[in-house]
Amino acid sequence: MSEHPLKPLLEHVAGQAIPPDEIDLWPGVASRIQQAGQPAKRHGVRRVPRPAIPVLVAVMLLALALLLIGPDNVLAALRGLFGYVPGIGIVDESAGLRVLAEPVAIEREGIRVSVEQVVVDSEQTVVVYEINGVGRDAYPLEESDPGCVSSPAIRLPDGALMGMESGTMGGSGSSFAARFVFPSISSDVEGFTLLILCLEGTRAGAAPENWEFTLRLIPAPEDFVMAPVLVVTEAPKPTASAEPPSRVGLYLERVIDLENSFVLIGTFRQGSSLPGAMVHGISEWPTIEDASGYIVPIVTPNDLDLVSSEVGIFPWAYEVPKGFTSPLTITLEAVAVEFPADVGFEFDVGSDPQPGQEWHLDRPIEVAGHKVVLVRAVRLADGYELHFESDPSVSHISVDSVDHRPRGGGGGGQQGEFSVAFHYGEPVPDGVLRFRISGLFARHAGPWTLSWEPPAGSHTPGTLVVPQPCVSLDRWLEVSQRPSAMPESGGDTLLLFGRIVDVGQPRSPENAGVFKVDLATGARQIIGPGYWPSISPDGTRIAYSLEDGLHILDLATGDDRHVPGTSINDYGPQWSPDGTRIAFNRTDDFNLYVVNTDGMQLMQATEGPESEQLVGWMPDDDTLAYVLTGTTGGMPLRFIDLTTGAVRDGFVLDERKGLDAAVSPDGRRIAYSGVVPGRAGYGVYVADIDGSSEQLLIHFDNWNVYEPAWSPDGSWLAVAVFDPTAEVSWPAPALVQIDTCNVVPLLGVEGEVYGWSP
Amino acid sequence: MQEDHAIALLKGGDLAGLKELVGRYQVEAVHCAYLILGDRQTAEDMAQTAFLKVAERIRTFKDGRPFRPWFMRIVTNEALKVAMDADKRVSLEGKDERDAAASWLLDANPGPEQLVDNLENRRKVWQALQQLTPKQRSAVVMRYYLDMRDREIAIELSRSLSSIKWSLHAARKRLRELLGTEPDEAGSRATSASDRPDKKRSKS
Repeated sequence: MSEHPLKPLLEHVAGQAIPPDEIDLWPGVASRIQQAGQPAKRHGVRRVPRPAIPVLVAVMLLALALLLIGPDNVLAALRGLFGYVPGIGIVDESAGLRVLAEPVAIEREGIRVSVEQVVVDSEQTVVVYEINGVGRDAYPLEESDPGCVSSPAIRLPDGALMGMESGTMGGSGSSFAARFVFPSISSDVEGFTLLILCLEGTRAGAAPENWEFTLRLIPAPEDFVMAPVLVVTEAPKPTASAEPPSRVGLYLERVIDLENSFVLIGTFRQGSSLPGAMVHGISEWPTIEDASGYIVPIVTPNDLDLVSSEVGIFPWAYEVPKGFTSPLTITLEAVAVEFPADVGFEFDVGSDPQPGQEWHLDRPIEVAGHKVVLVRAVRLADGYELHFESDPSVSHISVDSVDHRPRGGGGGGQQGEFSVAFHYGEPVPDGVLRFRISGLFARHAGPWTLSWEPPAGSHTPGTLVVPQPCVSLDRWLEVSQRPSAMPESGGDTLLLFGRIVDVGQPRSPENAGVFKVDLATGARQIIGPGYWPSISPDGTRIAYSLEDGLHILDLATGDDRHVPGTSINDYGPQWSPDGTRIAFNRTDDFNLYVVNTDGMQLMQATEGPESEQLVGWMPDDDTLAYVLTGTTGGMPLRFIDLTTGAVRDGFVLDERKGLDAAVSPDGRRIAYSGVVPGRAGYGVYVADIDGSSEQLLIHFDNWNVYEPAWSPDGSWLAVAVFDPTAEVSWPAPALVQIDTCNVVPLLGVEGEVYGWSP
Repeated sequence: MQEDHAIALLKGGDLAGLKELVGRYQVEAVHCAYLILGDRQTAEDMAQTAFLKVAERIRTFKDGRPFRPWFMRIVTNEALKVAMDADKRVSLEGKDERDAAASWLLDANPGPEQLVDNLENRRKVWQALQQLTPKQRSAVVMRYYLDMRDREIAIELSRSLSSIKWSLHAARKRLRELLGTEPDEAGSRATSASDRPDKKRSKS
């Protein structure tokens, strides 16, 4: 799209009135963030009286809270000033609470928006609602279109409007859950209207707009359920900037005591350390370890409003399961720090620098105690890009162009290697260019630790179940570099997507493609470019995706045919067990489709706004297994009978699971990747098709193991093994015997196994 | 630092991410606000507010979506709110003058080439901008400065699509005559392969 002629005119007008080099908002923004952290002054907010009489609340809400909190803790919550309401967050009940009298839902054009919870305390009004049934076509197709970004608002009976103060929104696809915080509503107001002008992210006019919910408030009943919030240490009082707290480190301040978990809430405080520098936050996950050495899994709650109260103080909250061996030790290895600097450098690009021209400088610069090397400079079309290297703790530096104000800037990179770009427009400066480094961002190592022991009786120590993989990383390191006997699996051929160019470069579209491996001989046969390959049950044909749609290749004749009616938006083909049909995913409408292998009788298998992802065929040749993605609370597994259209529910793959599930050839088991509680990285699980008897088959600590593919006899799984810390482009395939935990590496092969056939 | 990295940092509570975003977008934010508000100090203050809103709302920002349009809508909304509050003090007589100025601006004469290069015409345009109603001013800024589409503007300004189209039609018609090219009608771009949603999550 060409630029509109009026745009440069308006740019001229604004640019002349406010020259870009006079704009520096950061000091003001930083100052206002600091001010925002001070205790808020609220005017005209009346405190809510404590409820006088018990009133019924929604039964669903009560049941949910009881489930999450547990009956013992409910009583304790009633005795405290602060309580925790799941989904709502921490509330102050000292002056009484009011809640939603009953959930309110509106359905329009197949989209249902339901307001599930409202809690009003003396400081805030928290509203929780869900949106379901938003079709894919309601969202923008163009990246430049952000869709609806309007925030909900509250309209009081007198017509006054209140905007939200903060909010979170989770979910994707057709289902969302939203939590928004508004100012407190006066106790003499018995209800309000929630206004949602448009649904988050949807295209203008593509989904119903202007939703209005009339909500009625009632005093919270005496048996309103909340979890107790325990004050661990008295939170340090706000300190003037001239008198920072002296001790740097982690502080635990409150603990929410739930039925099956604790939520630990605290802060990291910069204290008087690092004078002149500024800690920018906790940018690394802490390690929480119990007394037995078990790394406790961490979940970050999304219903707590963590706001920094002062510069240099950063709140955190982590939910940990009960049953660990006390005490817990929380360790934070490092924080991100900005160090001030004032270091100049310059270099001469001559009188006629040309786009693409490079200057190799290798100039060391001392910045805030770190050695930074200006490696080279590159002339861009409208400016220059400077490339730096440093010790690995440095993530980037702030660089200013001294003599010439750029129109824009950019940069990127990673720890120890980054670039800074200046875009000047015309004329691009030449001659001696002068720059100034004003700051350096680095990982500042601690570690900082704190220890906490739960109150006696709050849980049963030592009962936490730690999943143990059948195949561990130690075993893999032992076998991964030596040849092993290939499995007796009922199949001799593996079909992979991976590196098809033997020597060379990092992973790229040019050296990636489809190939097959003969297990008996180890011989590779390159098929060619393509994605998501699938091999026919008899091993004679391959279906795969290309830019123009699905293709079927006859391995014996080399005959390669485009499947009519398929396009670039079709992917992930899978052969039916009898080899007569192919099922695949279509991203036009995020439904599943089936087509005969001769390209005839293309049919849509699923419909509706939900996003389906194909898992595989069941052995009856007429049933597809798939998961719904983008739903809150995990991915429901479903089965659809292609003849009758009947859909049967399976179990729900929880949110820790991946999208790469595979059904065993006999249809009795399912394999899928997933995060292992208490560990980093994905592992592969095997379970019965109803979700029972789950077994962690393989897990390699912080490596990722994923993309399971069954052997023809169902006794082995091929998986992809990827070490994210290693300088490799592709995963390594591994073959795992399910019953014996025998693991066999596929040496000399890079890629992911997508099929295993006779 | 790349933009998505900055956003990720900010989502994690790291103000380095916000600082990076301020550095990237402060000029455009201040200029956009200035065009709507007409006052430098208010524009800078409002732009700061917009960045604070970003910090507040960043957790509602969906990963993978373009940040700039999302942010610039916050800027225009905030600027419009401030401008409308200020506009309540303007007399009815002033409104008639503003309507006249709107016609002048939207059916601009002389042509855009001269407008860009002619200091006097820039001054005239600036004066005309300031005489528009806040919503008219916002519509011009959204359409011609931020390249937003008519329907988007209609939603942001709570006006009917036909009203927005009518307001901007004169300018487009005049520009077509002057430039001899097709106007940049909304939605005329073809969908490219890069518009395709991610098909599968990549774990490597």
